[in-house]
Amino acid sequence: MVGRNRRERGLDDARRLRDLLRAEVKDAVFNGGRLPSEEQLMADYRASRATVRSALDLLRDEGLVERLPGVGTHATQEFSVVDLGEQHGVVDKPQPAGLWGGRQRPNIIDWREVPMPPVGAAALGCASGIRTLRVDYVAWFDGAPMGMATNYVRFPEGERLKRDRFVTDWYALLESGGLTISETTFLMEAALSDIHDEALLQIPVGFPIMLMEQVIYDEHGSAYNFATTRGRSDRIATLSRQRRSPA
Amino acid sequence: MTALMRSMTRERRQHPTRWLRDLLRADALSGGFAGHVLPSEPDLMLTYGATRSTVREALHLLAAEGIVERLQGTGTLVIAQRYARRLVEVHGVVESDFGLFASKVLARRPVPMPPSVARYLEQAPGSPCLLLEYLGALEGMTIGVYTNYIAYPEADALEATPFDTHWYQFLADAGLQVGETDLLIEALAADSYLAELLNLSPGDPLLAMQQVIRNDDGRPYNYAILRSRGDRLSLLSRAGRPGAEPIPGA
Repeated sequence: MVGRNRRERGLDDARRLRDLLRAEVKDAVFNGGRLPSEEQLMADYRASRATVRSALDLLRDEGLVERLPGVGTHATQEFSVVDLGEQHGVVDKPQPAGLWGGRQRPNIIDWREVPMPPVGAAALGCASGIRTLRVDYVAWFDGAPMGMATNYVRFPEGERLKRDRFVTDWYALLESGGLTISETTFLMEAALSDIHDEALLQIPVGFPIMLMEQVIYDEHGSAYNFATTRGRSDRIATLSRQRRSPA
Repeated sequence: MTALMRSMTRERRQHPTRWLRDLLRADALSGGFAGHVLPSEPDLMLTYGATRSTVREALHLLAAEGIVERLQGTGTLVIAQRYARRLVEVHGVVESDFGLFASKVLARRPVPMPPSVARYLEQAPGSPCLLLEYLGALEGMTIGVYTNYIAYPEADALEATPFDTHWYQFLADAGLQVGETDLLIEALAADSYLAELLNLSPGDPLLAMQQVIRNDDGRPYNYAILRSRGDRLSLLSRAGRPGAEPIPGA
C-alpha cells in the first residue's frame, strides 16, 4: 500500500467525489441539469463541505458545470451517449434520436479524387497511389459541430459516392452508393485539440478530444474505406457493452 | 474582406496541413515508418504532393503533441508509443494474458456506497461497499489510476485476496465472474491530482472510462472509474453486422 498523508487523502476524496459527480452530471439524473445543494451532496456522499466544494470547483474548471451564488450548480450543456455498435455503423435500426438517426448534418470541406496515401493503403491492403475519393467534413448535430472526419474511399467504391447524396451521416452516404458495411474497426485514442480543431470544432486549443481511425469492410471482407476522425468528447461519449460468449 | 472571409481563407490554406498531420500521425503510431524514422522533408513532399511549408507545419504539430521529435541533421523520429488494447479484453469477457500487468493498491477500505454508484449497482445508497483504488502498470510503466466500488457480498472475497496483477486476474483469484461489462468511453484532461499520480502535466489527455461489471446472472457488483494515460493507451474495437462472417486476419 502506498502511504498517503492527510493532505493527500483529502485530495483523493475530492477527486473521487468529482468523478462520481461528473458521472451524475453526464447522466443528467439531476433535475433539469441542476445539482443538489452542497448540504444535500454532503449528506448523500457523506463528505465534508470542503470536499464537496473542491469537487464542484474541479467540475467547474472542466467547464462541465456552472456555479452561481444563491442559485446553485447547473450542468452547462447537453451530452449524448452513443452506442458503439451504431458508431461502428453495423446496427440495422439506429436510434431515431441518436447520431445516426438522420439528424446529423455534414459540412463538406473537401470532396475530390486523390492518390491513396501510404497509411490508408496499409490499412486497406491496397497499393499506395491508387485512385481514391477523399471526403473531409465536419459533422453537426443539434446546431453544434461534434466532430470531423477525413475519409479515403478507394476506387471503384469511391466512384459510387455522390456529393449531393451526402445530407445526413456517412453511413447513409455509403448506403446511397450501394456500398455495404459488413464490419468496421476503430482505433480509439484520447488526445488534445490543436489550432485546427479550434477553428473547425469551436473548442479551445488543448481541449480533450477523441481520435479514431476507422476501416470499413464490405460483405466480402474487403476493406474499402479508411478514415481519421476527431470528436468533441465534451458532447459525446461512447457506450460499449460486451457479454462473455458461452464457452 | 470581412473577418469571417479572412478566417475562412486562412482555414482553407491550412486543410492540407491537417490532412497530412492525421495521416503521418496514424502511420507513426502504427509503426509504419521503418526504424521509427520518418522520410525526409523532400520525400514527404513528393509522397503526399504537399508543399514544404505544409510538411513542416504538420511535423511541427506532431512534435508539439509529443508524437515525433525533430533532430537537427538526423531527421524526424517517432518517439510516442501506444499500447493498443483490444476493447473486448478491456471488457474482461475474453481470455487474455495479464502477465505484463502490475498494480499497486492506493486504497482498500469499506465505505458507504455513494448514490451514483448505488444506482448503477442497483443497491440502496449508503449500503456497505468496498473502495479499492490502484495504480496500474503495463510492462513496468504506469498507465492509469483505477477506482473501484464493489458491492457485498462479492467484496468479501476481495478484502483479503492479494492483488498485484490485473484486475480481472484479481476477480478470478477471488472466485468472481465477469459475465457482462459496460464501458462508457471518453477523453478527459488530467487535473493536478491525477497528473501527480500518473506523472503527467495537468491538462494532458486521459482515456477515461466508466465501468459496470455484472456476473453471469446479470447482477451488477463492480462500478469503476478508469483513468488511463492517453499517451500510452489506445483501444481497438471491431464490430460486425449481426450474421456477417468475421473478417479473417483483419
